[in-house]
Amino acid sequence: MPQQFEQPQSQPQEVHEEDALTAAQTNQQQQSDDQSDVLDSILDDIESTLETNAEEYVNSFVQKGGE
Amino acid sequence: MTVQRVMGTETEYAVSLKGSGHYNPVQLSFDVVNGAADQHSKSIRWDYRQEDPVNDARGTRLERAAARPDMLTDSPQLNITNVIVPNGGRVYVDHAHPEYSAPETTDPFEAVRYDHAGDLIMQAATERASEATGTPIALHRNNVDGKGSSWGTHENYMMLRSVPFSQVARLMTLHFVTRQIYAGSGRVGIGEHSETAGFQLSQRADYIHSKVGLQTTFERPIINTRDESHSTDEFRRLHVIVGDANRMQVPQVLKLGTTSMLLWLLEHAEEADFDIDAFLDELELADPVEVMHAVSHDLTLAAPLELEHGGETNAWLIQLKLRQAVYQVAALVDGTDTTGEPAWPDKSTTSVMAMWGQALADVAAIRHADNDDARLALSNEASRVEWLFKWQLLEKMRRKIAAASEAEDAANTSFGWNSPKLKVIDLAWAALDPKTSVFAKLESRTERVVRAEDVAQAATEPPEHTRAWLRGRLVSKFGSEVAAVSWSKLTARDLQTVSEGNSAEFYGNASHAAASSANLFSLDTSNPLRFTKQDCQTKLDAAEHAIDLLKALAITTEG
Repeated sequence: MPQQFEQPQSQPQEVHEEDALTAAQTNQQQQSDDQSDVLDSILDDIESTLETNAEEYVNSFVQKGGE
Repeated sequence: MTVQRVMGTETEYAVSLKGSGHYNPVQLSFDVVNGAADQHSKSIRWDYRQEDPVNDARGTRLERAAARPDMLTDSPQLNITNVIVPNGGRVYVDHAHPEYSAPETTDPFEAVRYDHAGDLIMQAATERASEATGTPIALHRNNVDGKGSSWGTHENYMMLRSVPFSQVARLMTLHFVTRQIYAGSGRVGIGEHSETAGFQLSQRADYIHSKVGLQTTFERPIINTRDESHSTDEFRRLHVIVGDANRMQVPQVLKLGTTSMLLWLLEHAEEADFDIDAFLDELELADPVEVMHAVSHDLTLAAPLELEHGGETNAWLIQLKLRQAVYQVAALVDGTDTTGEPAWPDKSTTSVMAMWGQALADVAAIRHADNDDARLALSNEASRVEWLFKWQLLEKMRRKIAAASEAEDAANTSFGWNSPKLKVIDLAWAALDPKTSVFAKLESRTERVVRAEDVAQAATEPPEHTRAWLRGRLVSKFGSEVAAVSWSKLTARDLQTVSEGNSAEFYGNASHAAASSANLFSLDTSNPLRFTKQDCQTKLDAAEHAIDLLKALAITTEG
């Protein structure tokens, strides 16, 4: 196919339960502590827009059912 | 074994007016669809004569009189507006929602590209509609209003009709009730009316109430049996209604890719001597509808699921076994390379199988994180698992609310899930307008598999490898000369006879006569893999009128 997609670099591998658990534990150790800061900064970024009438915004969002 | 097959998505958007509790969603839907139209597309009708919404995949037909009116999508409707967009897709009003049907594609990555192009098309249409009506219209890409209503995000797959439908239903049931663990987009509120405060994996799960059925708007089934193939007799179209509206790309590729691989498994099990019935017997769930809800409500991802023939399992193990079955049959049919990996025939298939493996590793990491603090630190997993990223943001916000509260139960981990602030994050996550969308703020931290410029291109250029190419190009080049379009038929006006007088035309009802055939010419495009760029480019370039092009292509088809 002519289109080129950016696709994940991960290598194919058979997943067994033990492997997945090992991978999970390794992952956890490697995980940066930055996620907490990232989430805080996203919240700071959106909070100003959320504070204005959050309740009204949510309450007024009423839809009819679809398929 | 390949992930490639004809597939495509349909997305119903929530439509509302910013800052107003009073609006008519049906009128707003018409406004948005009008915003998607140009001067030509308004005169092109959608041709409902090929639609057959009461044909059931189980081999029966619902009596017309027994069908609820909202199932009869081929009946003429007052005011119906359809726009065939230049990418070959369709923008239209469906009940009280504006909907985008992506053009037919042949690959999950391409399907996601065209699905997201729909967001661009619909947002642009909404901005034009807001300007035209002087009212601030907003679209959301989600499935629930938290007050009882749900709307759909559908997938469609072309598959061999020779596979017994009972096998399709059994295998897909297993897949659909468990794939939520990596494909769910997350939802604040539990129960159709958010009766219980809390968070769940899936938007759509609580609205699924039966195992198998034809209907899509009430008592929604896990397996929808609508059997309008929009294709040739050899194939059926599997119409999937249980999926969530995702903003992230990885869960979308996973939904389309893993489902396509499992359909391939069904199509080739016999060839590989794989006993599909024994496999299905072993994993058959005692109560799939209950499992659909239980899996969605279980953030520990460990809920025991009762098996029909004794014993229990869990969603992660079912997904693991589904993936292993695909590996097993692929190795038997296609052979393996030196590392024991099946010889996947193309890059998309290799990627999808790797992503499926990664998804199961991600879910394992979430399952085995010690507590919520550990789950909040999972950044790699959150870049791929949408419900996890949404939960992390909400849980952080919930903790802030709890810290600021003087309530006695503020230390309780369930405190705050009823807060409007959390509900508004869930809703704004889905906002299509990048200026107000929460998702837009964190999109750069999610793993992407399709480039933004390719998505933008897909808003105007049709896919090259299906009949959508001809549909999109015909409409772009000849506009007003096109009388009617459907998935499987294109009809052009004969300008000569029209100019001679009789131009009365009627569309929208199978029992209502269309214009006399002297004024029109129709091309049957039942085979989705024909009328591609390669098939049609030369004739399109040479044609002066739409009708000349369709006639030239009809001759080729017959030959």
